[in-house]
Order: sequence, then C-alpha cells, then structure tokens
Amino acid sequence: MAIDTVLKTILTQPQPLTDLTHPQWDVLIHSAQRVGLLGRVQYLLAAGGLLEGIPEQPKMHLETARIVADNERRIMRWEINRITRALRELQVPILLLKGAAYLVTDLPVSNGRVSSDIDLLVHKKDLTAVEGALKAHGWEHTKLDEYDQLYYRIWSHELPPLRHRERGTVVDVHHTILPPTGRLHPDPEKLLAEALPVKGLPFSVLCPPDMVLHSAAHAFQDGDLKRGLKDIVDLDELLRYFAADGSFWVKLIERGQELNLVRPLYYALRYAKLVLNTPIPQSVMERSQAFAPLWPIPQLMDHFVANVISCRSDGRPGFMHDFAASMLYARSHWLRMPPVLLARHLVHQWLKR
Amino acid sequence: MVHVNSPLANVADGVQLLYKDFPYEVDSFADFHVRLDRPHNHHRLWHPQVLCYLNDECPFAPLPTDQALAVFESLLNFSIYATIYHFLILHAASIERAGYTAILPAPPGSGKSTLCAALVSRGWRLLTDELTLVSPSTGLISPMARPISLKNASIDVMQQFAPQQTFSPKVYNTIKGTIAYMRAPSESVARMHETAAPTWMIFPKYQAGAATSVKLLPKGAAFIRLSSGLVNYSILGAVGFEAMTQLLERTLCYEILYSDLDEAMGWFDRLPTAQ
Amino acid sequence: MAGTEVWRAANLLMRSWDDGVIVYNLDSGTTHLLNPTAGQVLYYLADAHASVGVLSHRLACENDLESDEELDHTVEDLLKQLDSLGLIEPVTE
Repeated sequence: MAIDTVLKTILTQPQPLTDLTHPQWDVLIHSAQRVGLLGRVQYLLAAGGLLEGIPEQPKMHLETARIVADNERRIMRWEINRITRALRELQVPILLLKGAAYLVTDLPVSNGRVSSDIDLLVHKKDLTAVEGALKAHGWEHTKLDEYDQLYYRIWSHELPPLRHRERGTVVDVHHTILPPTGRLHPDPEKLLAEALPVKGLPFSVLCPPDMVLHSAAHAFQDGDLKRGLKDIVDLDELLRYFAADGSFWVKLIERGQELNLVRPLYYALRYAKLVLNTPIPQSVMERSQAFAPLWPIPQLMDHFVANVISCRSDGRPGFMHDFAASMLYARSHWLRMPPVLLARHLVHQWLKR
Repeated sequence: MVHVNSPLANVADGVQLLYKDFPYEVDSFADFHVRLDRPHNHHRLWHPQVLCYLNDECPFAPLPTDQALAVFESLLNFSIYATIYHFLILHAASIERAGYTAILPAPPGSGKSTLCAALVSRGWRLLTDELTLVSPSTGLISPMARPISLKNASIDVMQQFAPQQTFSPKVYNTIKGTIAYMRAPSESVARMHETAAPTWMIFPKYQAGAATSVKLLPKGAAFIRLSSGLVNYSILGAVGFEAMTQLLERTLCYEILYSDLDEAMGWFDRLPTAQ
Repeated sequence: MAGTEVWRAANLLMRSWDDGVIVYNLDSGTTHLLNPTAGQVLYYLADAHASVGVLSHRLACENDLESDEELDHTVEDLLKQLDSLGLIEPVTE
C-alpha cells in the first residue's frame, strides 16, 4: 500500500496498522509531521483505540505530537482568555476565525489540530479601537519596514500582525476575509450579520456555511496550499460535521453564491471528495460544476493539487511536488494582487532575502 | 536512532571516532534523518560550506565545511530538544557512581563540561553531557552517553588532565570558539540503557581564582536557577511541573563555586559518604 | 471599588516549600515562585472566592496581625499583582 494512501486511510477510516514495517512507519511519521498532521493522526488512532499494536519508536513520536497539540490548545485557550480581558469593555462585534473558532465551539476538527495564531474579524470602523485596546494590554506590532507596514494597512485585509510583548503570541485582526486587492470580495458585513454568538465569551463565530466557505477561500483563493493536505483535512472535517444538519448543503450553495465564493467552494468540494472521499451528495457535486473555471484550468489544478499533497514513497517531496508548489504559490499571489502590485511585491520580497 | 547521510569526510570520520561503541542498524525506524551536505551555491568553489537538514528541513544557516562535525553535534542536540517531549529535558550534564547520580545544570561558560569530563575520566559513569532526559512517570534519567563537548582553553586542560581519553580533532572558528569532543568511555556507552535515579542537583560555577565553596540551596531558589536551563518544560504543561517538583523534592540541591578542578572533584568524591 | 470585588484563583497546582510557594497555572502554562504570604492568599482563593476584606481578615487571624486599613491596602496591591500575572480572576457573574 503506498504511503500516502495509508495516511489518507488513517485520516478517513482509521484501522489497525499492524502490518507496517519499520521503514514504512518512518515515512508515515515524517510525512505526517511535515504536513502538520501528526497531531491529527495521533488523535484519530487514540480515539479509535488503535495505539496498542504500534511499535515503541513510532509511538513515541505520536506521543510527542499529542503533547504538542495539547500545548497549542492550551496556548490558544489562554490567548482567548487574555483577548477577552483586553476587548470585552469595547462592546463591538468581534468574530473569532479558523482555529480559535473551532476550539471555542468544540468542533471535532479542533482535535489534534496545531495552530496558535488567533484571527479576529471586526468591522473596518472598529479596527482602530480594537488595535488600541490590544496595544494597551501588551500587544505590539512586529517590526516591519515601511513598505510592509504600508502593504498591510492599505492593500491587505488585516492589520500588521500584533505580537504580545511577553508571550510572543500573535493576533491577526482582519476587516475582510480576503485581500481587498484580490478578485473576490465577500462582504464582511454579511459575514458579521449571520455570525453566531459563543456562550460565555464576548465573541461570535461564522455560521456553518460561512465557516466552510472561509476555509475554502483560505485554502484555494488566498493560500498557496503549502500544507495542502492539512487544508483539505480541515474542509473534510467541517463538511462531515455540518452535514448532520439536513439543510446544510442547500445553505452552503446559496451562501456561496451570495458571498461570491463559489469558485473556492467548487475547488473545496472537488478536492475533499477526490482526496478524502468526503460524503458529499451527488446533487451538490453536480450543482458545483456550474462554478468550475473553464478548460484547461480544472485539469491543471487537479495536476498541481495532486502533486502538492502527495509524497514520494521515501517520504521526501520530489521535483514535481516543488514545481507544483511553486506554481500554486505564484497563483495565490496572482489571485491576491493585481499584476502591477504583484511585480513590486515579489521584487521587494526577493530583495529582502 | 539517527539516520545520518553525508558525503563529507570529516563528518564520517568524526562520527566513526566519537560513536565507535554505539550500535547501528539498517532498515529500521529512524527518529531523526540528518543530512549534512554542501549547498548548491557559488560558495561551493572557494569557501566550501556545509548545510544541515533535519528531516528535510534546514534549521541552521550554512557554515564552513571544516565545522561540519560541530554542526552535526549541534543538529543532534536540536533534534532532541525540538522533538523529544515524553521526557523532561534539562540543559545539564549527569553522572553516576555506585548508584548515586548528580545532575549538573549550567549555562554555557560555567565550566560544566570540563567538570563533567574530568569526573567521567576518573570513574564516574557518563549519563549525558548536554541534555538530561528525565522520565515524568518514573523520575529516572535515561542516559545518552554522547561525546562531551569542550571549548577553547578547556580542551588543552582536559587533554593534559586525562590523556588516555579519546578526543576529536579541534574544530576552529565556531561561534563558540574552538571546540573538540571527548568520546564517552566505552563502559558508559555499554550501560546506556541503565536508567539512574537522581540524588543531587549541583549547580557548578567556575570562577578563576575562587576558593572552592559549597552552599545548600532551598528548593524554590533551585527551581528558579533551573528555569533558564529548561528546554521543553513549558510544552509539557502540568506533567512538566509535576516532574520538576518531584525531581527537586527527591534531590539535595547545591551550588559549588570553584577554580581548582582537583579540589572540586575531591568534594564530589566525598559526596556519597556525606549523605 | 476593588474592596467589594470578589476574586477567584485560576486553575492552579501549588507546592509549599521552605522558601516559598511554587505555583503552576494550568490555564496560562506559567510557573511562579511566590513568597509565603502571597502563597497563603493564593491558597485562600483556591479554596473559596473572596474579596479583599475577607482575605485581609483571614490573613490577620491566621498570622496574628492587626486587621486594619493598611493590611487591606497591602492585600489589594497583592491582588492587583496576582491578577496581572494571570493567577486570579474577578468573579463576574
């Protein structure tokens, strides 16, 4: 069985792994580690009672991944606690995004997930007040040169990152979920309007369809899929969980259209199904075909995505992977910024190295 | 278990010299994949460099090729403290004799490695020179018996003090100055699988011209002193706290100030009987 | 005024040693060494929610001190410090 298949099997239908050889364990552990999924793998094996038969050495690495994931979770919870103390007097709508949102709402996708940056979404008019309150409680802007500062404030969808002076943790404050210079402009007011309050905290989270759409936009419009499989795992988990609500799929399509995020939604559904066999109703897959780009883009994307998420049998990314990754990186910048801005930005990044 | 891959002769020679007594296997599970190679850049020709990889990621900037052995040892240290979390890891040497074990935590420049090397050459078993691994569940130390790193003046001091030990060639111009490694005695390597229960926590401080003086430390103060030498404590959370408090509750904590190596070693020799 | 505010300890692990109380905050992951008095106050708050007045009174009784305004101020300052370290939180319900 090819190794990336083993990894995918663990992610979707964990089974006993008694017939893996030591070198195969080696590849599995190190590839999962490289794509940031070892914590998830450990969680799934532990939840399925499958840790018993695993040899000592790989088991030790799984245990390490669990410790790291638990630690990241604790860090994130404490950050949310501290941000609550800093912002609760403000009485403005604040949304938690991504990992922080998954954690406070106890979604299964948060298990074994490793991330500690906190992302907030606020109304553009409240940015200054939020920034001020965070700075008053020990967060400060990281050192950026003038160009980068300008890039963030004028062209990006977020303030320059705020790092806590003592804890070193980072808060990203957004006013939209995609860069204003990009081609898609989901209206943040609509996101805030449908947000759901979180019990016991002065924050809300995106409603289920919006959570999926945000994850899709993050993976396929804004991101370069550097950790491609991880992004697809998040999407798969979210879709499986929310599908319990019978009306979810219809709402997902409608909301995708309303927010003009149907293209990333198309990719999300396509690759979740292809890679992890997410149980998406056939009718939904057919409906999403209408949102596909024209030939030959779907075929090219299939090719790039497949290469980015696969690993060679010795577990090391090969030339095709690097090439595909660089194509996706270039694509993500193209989608983020108009061509003139892009040329300037890439030149600047290159000069800094 | 480390998988090492390198075309560089000084790495191969160094590893064979310093790890001569260590077991090796093929086709096994490697905890770390370590690769040291020349980077593909213009430095290749006139300033040969070495670049190191841990599991295909590159944690350090390139350095001159003749520092490759030092890079290898640093990379192993990095591998351990970046990834081994089922142990509490302290920046400390540990040595054992007759069932008594001393942990010597110390920041760079405290003379820890020199003292450790001296004690080891006089019969103490080397558990570890740089990273002490303590099991949170049992409180026992798991030895590694890797080479002891010596810097600058202490290299010559040790070569005179213990000429019968095996030393690597000197590595010059590293950011820490000149480094050489003393191979762990074969017996220490052979007993690498014997864990040890800590008896003392001894903070050594070398100070030129100082008379040897020893002070008992209260636990709270010892914890604070240790805090700068804790590698993965914060990641371990409550487990780390319990492991640390139990370690301090089970050991007697001392601070030893010295300049004369023989005198300091004399105090260590008298320790078990003073219990 | 802070005098009527009620406080509680965060989720803590504590050990009392000769030279102080070593505290681990399970929520923040930070470790602190407190002097014995500060440690005592923290033990009280881990035991039960309390205001400055209650803490001051308890401290006075158990240590044979005068329960007066000066002690109240000292305790209030201590609580501010413990709060800034994340070791205690105001009870908001």
